[in-house]
Amino acid sequence: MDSPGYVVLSRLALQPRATELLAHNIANADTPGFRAQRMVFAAHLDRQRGTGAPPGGAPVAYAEDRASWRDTAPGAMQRTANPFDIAIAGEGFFAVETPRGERYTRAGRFSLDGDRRVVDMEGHPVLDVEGRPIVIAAADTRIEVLGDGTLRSENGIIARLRIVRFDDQQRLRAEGDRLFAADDPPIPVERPALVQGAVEGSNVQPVIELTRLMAELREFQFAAQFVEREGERLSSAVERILRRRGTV
Amino acid sequence: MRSLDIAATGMLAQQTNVEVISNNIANMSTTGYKRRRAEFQDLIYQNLRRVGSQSADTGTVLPSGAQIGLGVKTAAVYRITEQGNLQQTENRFDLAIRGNGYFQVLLPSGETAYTRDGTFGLSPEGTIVTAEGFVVVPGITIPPAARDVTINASGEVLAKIDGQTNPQLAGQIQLAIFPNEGALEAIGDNLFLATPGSGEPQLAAPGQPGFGQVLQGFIETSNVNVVQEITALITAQRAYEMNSKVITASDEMLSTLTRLR
Repeated sequence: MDSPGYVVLSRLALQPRATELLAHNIANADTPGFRAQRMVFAAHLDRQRGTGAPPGGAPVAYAEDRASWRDTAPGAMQRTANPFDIAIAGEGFFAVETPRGERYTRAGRFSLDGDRRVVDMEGHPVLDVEGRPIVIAAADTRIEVLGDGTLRSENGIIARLRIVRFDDQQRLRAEGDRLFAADDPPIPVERPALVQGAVEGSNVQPVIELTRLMAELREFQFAAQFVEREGERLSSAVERILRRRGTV
Repeated sequence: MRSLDIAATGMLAQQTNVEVISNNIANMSTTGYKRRRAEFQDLIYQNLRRVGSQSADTGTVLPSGAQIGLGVKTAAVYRITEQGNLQQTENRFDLAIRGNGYFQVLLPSGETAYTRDGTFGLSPEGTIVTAEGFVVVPGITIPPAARDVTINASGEVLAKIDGQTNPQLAGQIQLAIFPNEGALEAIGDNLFLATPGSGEPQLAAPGQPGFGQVLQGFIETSNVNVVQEITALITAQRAYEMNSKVITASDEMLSTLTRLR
C-alpha cells in the first residue's frame, strides 16, 4: 500500500549522486583532457513473489543509478607555445608509465625531467611505440612533433609517440591525475593526428552543466514535495478510516 | 552531500588560479618575468559499481561502471618560458638574451642563481653586477681607462681604451641552460635556483648551438600578455561563480530535505 513513497524515495536518494557528478564536472571545467561524466538512471523492477501487476497497471519500478557514462566528445584546443604541449585531434590516448603500470591520458601537457625524459605533470615518463620512455639528447634543441606522432629535432628522428585507442572507452577507469586505467588491451592508432603547441581542454560545457544543475534541483524538490504529499495522503487516509470507525 | 565538498575544491582551485593571474598582472612590467599558469588535475574517484564487474551469473559484463569523482586539485603552477619582447634602452650594460639561457649570478651566500633579467651595472670596483649588486659570473672587471664597452652577440665584453687601436677583451659572459627550466625554483628578485628537477646546468658562450644570443642595449620585458590574462581572469571568476552555484543548489536540496514533514 505504501509503495509510492518508497518509489519516490529511491529517486530522492539517488539525486545527490547525480549532483555530485555535476559538481565534479564543474570543478574540473579547467582540467586539461578531462571528460565530463553523466549518471544513467534505470528502472529497477520490483520483484515481488506471488504478486503480479494489478489489472491494467504497470509493474512497480524503482529508480536505480545504473552507471556513470563518460562524454567522449573532444575538448576545445588551447594554444600554448610550449613545444612539449601536444594535443590529439580525433581519437586516441597518450600512454604513460606509472608505478602501477601503463596508464592513458588525453592531457598532453608534457615537459622534460632532470634526466631529459619526456614526462607528464606528475613525472610519469611518456612512452614511445616500443613502450620505452623518450629521452631527448642535450644536443636536440629544436623539437618538432609531426602529425603522426614522430618527434624530430635538427639531428634527426628521436622517437614516435605511442598513441592508443580502445574499442569501448566507457570501460576505462578514471584514476584521477588525468589518468585512465584500462582492463582491455589497447589498440595502437596507426595514423594519429597530433598538434604541437596546443593542449586539449576539458570537454565540460558550463551551460549544459548549469542547466542540468537547475533541472536536478527542481526534480529533487519535486520528489521531496511528492514524499510530503504522500505522507499527507496516508495520514488523512488513516484519519478518515478512524473517523468512520468512531461513527459506527 | 559530497557535492558541497566537491564544489569547495573547485572554488579553492579557481582561487589559486586568480592568485596566479594577479601575480602575472602585477609583474607585467618586471624585466625578464615569465608568466605562470595554474594547472589542475581531477582528484580520486569512488567506484559505486566497478567497471568490468559482472551483472549476472551468466557472465554479463557491465558496459560501464559508476564512478564519482571527488573534485579537482592544483597540480602545478608552471612557468611559460616563451621569449619576452626586447625593449631598447641604450644603456650599455643592459643585456637581453634572445633564445635559451640564463645569466649566472653569484649570491652573497656563495650559491649560484640564474636570471633572465640583464639590467646590469658596474660596482665601485668596475665589476659587472646585477641591479642588486650581485656579481655576474665569471666576474668581469672593466678597466678604469675604458672609454666605451661593447658586448657582442657571443658574450665577449670588449673595452675600448684610449690610445689603443684594438679593443681589449675584458671577459666572456657565459649562459646556462637546463634540461627542464620549468622546474627552476624562483626566489624573487628575478632570480632562480637549480633544483633536482631542473637538472644540472650546461654552460657555454652565447650563440653556441642550443644557446641564445646576447643583445647589448636591450632588456627582455615580461612575456605577460594582458589580453590573455584578463580573459583568463574572467574565465576564472565565472568558474568560481559556477562552483558557488553548485553549493547553493546543494544547500537548497538539503534545506528541502529538512523541511520535509
